Amino acid sequence: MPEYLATVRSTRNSDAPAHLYLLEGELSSDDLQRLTSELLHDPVVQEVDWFSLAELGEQASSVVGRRSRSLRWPSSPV
Amino acid sequence: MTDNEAESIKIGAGRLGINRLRTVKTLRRYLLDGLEQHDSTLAGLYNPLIQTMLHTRSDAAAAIDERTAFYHDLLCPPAETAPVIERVALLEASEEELLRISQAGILSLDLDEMRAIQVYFRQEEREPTDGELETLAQTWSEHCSHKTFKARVRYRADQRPKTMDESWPKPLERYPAYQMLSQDSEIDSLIKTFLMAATHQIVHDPSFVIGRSSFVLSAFVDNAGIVAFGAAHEVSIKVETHNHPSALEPFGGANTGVGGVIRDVMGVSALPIANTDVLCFGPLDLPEDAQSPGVLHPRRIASGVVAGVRDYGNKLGIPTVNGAVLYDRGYTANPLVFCGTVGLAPRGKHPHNLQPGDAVVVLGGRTGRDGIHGATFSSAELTHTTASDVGSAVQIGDPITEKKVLDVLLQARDAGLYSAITDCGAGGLSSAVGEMGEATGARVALDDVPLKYAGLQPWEIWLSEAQERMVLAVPPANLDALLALCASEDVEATVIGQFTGDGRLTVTHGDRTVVDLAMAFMHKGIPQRTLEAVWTTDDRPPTTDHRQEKRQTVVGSQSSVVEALKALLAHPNIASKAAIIRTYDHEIRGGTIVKPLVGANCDGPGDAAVLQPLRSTTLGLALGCGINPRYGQIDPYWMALACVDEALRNVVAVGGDPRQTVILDNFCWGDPRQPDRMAGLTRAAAGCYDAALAFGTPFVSGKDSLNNEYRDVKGARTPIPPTLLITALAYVPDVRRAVTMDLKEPGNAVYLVGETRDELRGGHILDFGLPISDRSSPKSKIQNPKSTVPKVDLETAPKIMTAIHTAITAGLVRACHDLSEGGLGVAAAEMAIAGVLGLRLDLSATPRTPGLDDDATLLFAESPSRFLVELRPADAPAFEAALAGLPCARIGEVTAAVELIIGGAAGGAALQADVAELKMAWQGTTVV
Repeated sequence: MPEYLATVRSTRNSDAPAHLYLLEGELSSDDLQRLTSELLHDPVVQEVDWFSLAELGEQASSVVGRRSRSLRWPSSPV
Repeated sequence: MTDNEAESIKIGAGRLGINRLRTVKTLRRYLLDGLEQHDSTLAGLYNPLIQTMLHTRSDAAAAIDERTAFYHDLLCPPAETAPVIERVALLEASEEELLRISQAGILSLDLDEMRAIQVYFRQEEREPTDGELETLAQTWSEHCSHKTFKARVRYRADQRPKTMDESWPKPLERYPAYQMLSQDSEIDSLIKTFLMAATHQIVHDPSFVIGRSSFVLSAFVDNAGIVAFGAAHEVSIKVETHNHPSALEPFGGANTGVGGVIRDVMGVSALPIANTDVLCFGPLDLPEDAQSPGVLHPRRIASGVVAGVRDYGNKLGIPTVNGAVLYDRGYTANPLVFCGTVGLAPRGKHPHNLQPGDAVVVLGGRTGRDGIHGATFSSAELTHTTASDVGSAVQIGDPITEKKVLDVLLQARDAGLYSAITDCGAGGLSSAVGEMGEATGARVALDDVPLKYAGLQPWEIWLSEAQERMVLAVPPANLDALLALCASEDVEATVIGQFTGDGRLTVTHGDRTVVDLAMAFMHKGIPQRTLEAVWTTDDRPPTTDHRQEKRQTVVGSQSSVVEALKALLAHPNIASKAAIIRTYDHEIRGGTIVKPLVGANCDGPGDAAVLQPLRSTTLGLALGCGINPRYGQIDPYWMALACVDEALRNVVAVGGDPRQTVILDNFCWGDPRQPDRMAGLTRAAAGCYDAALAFGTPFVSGKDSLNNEYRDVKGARTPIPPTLLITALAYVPDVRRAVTMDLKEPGNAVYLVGETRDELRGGHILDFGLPISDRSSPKSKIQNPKSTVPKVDLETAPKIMTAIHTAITAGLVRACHDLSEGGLGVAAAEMAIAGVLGLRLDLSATPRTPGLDDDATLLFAESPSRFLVELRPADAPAFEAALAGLPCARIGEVTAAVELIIGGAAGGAALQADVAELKMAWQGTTVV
């Protein structure tokens, strides 16, 4: 079953405690976009990124220490 | 165990049309700078009972693998396990083995109880299952059966000469229970002899002068006490404790304590309309090195408990309108969390009509492995290993689910869909179904119980104290309607069995029997305990917190009454609790007439809350409390009287009718098997009896929490201070006449009602040593053998309460405040602070015992049954007429200058202080 990690951070302070969500299920890209944008984060004060857990190493190493407001799509098809 | 946020996300996803989201887990990530990988600070950042933690260096390549494995583990579902029903070898067990079985299973059963179970199963000619032993342990637990309060008590009186006649020249017939305990006695059940007896006499005895048979509708029977409210409604009230869970996991413990007592009120088919919460913590500035192993620091407990109380009440939309917070070193390992709820229902809509054939329906939250052994765990003392031994006893709350359950129940009640109802609290389904089916019998199929996750053993499903569940008895004809109603409100409801007529409790899992017990044995088979109680008068001053020495240095050296008053105002027990109160929503529902904080700037300490439950009538309710464990460390009998008196003072001060008041008792004590603790408990119950009869205030509900002791690594035991909370609920005839404690208008007269006596023992001023003013005796009263613990004059006190109420009802009173912790000095300062006005008082005019002229004693003694009252000068004659024959004197006036000026008993000035400075002291203490 595909697994994803979504990370929600404050837009003003990237060092503030972040909310992490582990999601498991046969989710489409559209599902993930709606979940994160409509349910898991408030775009006014927070930013979100996510990736497939299988690619955590690759994706996380490129994210660590970097602020991003862009939505990040899993590189592998879901 | 339970991740409410994750469950909400799954529901939200479903509403977005995303139905393929199978599992969600929520986490928090903290970036910490400056810590080493194995810094011990990390261990303090989470509670391993309910949380799991991974800490890695953010820049380490290996950390990625650790994190990935950690996330995979979290998402991995619990392993499916085959249900196992074990037989426990009991029939041939020796006494040592019986005790070992009890201890190993966290059953908290003593040898007599284990023997009774052994005899029962010998008659049954089989070994018990694990589920049967667990069921009996739960049913016979202190929490569920109150076996200490039902025990036979062999009381041994203090053999030293009695001093009551010398020090207390009041008619002894007002103190029958006190007289009873002046000699050795054998008491058959404290609850029957004292608490229920008092209620029975007041409610049912036609010779009792007050008589209010139509007022009390249910006492000591239902999940909550019930009294009439107006012609068509009834009000219910219950106060519970959640002490042991709050010691282990403060947020969850307090959170589910609130949720549990709300369900008690739902269990009498009522709408919860207000909460009250009284909290006792260790000192917040306790040095880190003074912490005992396995014990959370009081700061962490206090902040977690307050957050837990706030979370449940606010989310459920119930105002938290009343409470108190106390601090004492004795509560460091064993904090106390009292949670109370008031409910409102149409009169007579709560059914008691369960019939064989009715379905057993469980609705609300799902069952998980949370709260296992909660009922039996509360019968054990805490130790340094408790968290690891019984961490599973911690429950997780979910107020949103409870709100949905409430919405369903009110509709089901009005539609008459159920024949009986109870909450699923301590002991889980075992307790709920076992109690509901006591008179009939019940059969339950555990495989039908909805679970949060797989892997639970049958006995765990049966005993789980997973929250937000109610059990209903539903006639077959109403079942479809109830299930449809639940579905329409998104509340899960499941038929798990049926009430039978066979008098047995039968629980199955698949085709196997988990429990098969006679209801009669479950509920009547527990042997009555015999407990020894040995009372010796203790002349030691009560223990005070560790800061006493420091404070004496700071305050005593200045020898100043003003400094002493400031120190008292800053005392954690007295200081402003606004930092806590303001986190609670006390306005929601729009019926809170007198709020916890009152006055010109809404920051004065209100005596009690006044509620207007129905918009259609100005009839209201006053909700207040009384608690003073400091007196309990001297003599619990006088503590009990003082607590009842204080609770009544508080509700009377805001407009409550003392003749239309009911009270509730909550005893929190140490180990009742220790004769000194049991003697104190007996004396407190006796005090409740004498006070209830004298004031004419019946008990309608009560609860005890015993074994509040900490046993350290070496086996040394530390009990909590003997603690009794009395909660009072009074009618307010007209909420428009409700009174607050803040001063209202310069030029108004100020009266002191009630007698001040040389009663300094247990007083807060003793934490600092008495201030030595010019006109005070240089000899400290601490050494004065005549200074006693505050004693309630049961002849005069009821008359004072009634007279004050008469004056308030007549509209004569502009402000009224009871004198409690810190005495007259603190009460006067608080009224001035709240009203942003001044006071000029004269101690020489105070009603007092002859010969008492010491300014400090007159200012700071905590003699009970006293009020400070503001009224317009024109109303003085009518007020004096209402108080005729009672200790009452005009002692000063309200001033526009915001100063507190108090003249000494022998003339001159005893105290002059800027109220703004007093306010700074009062608001300057950290309370959470």
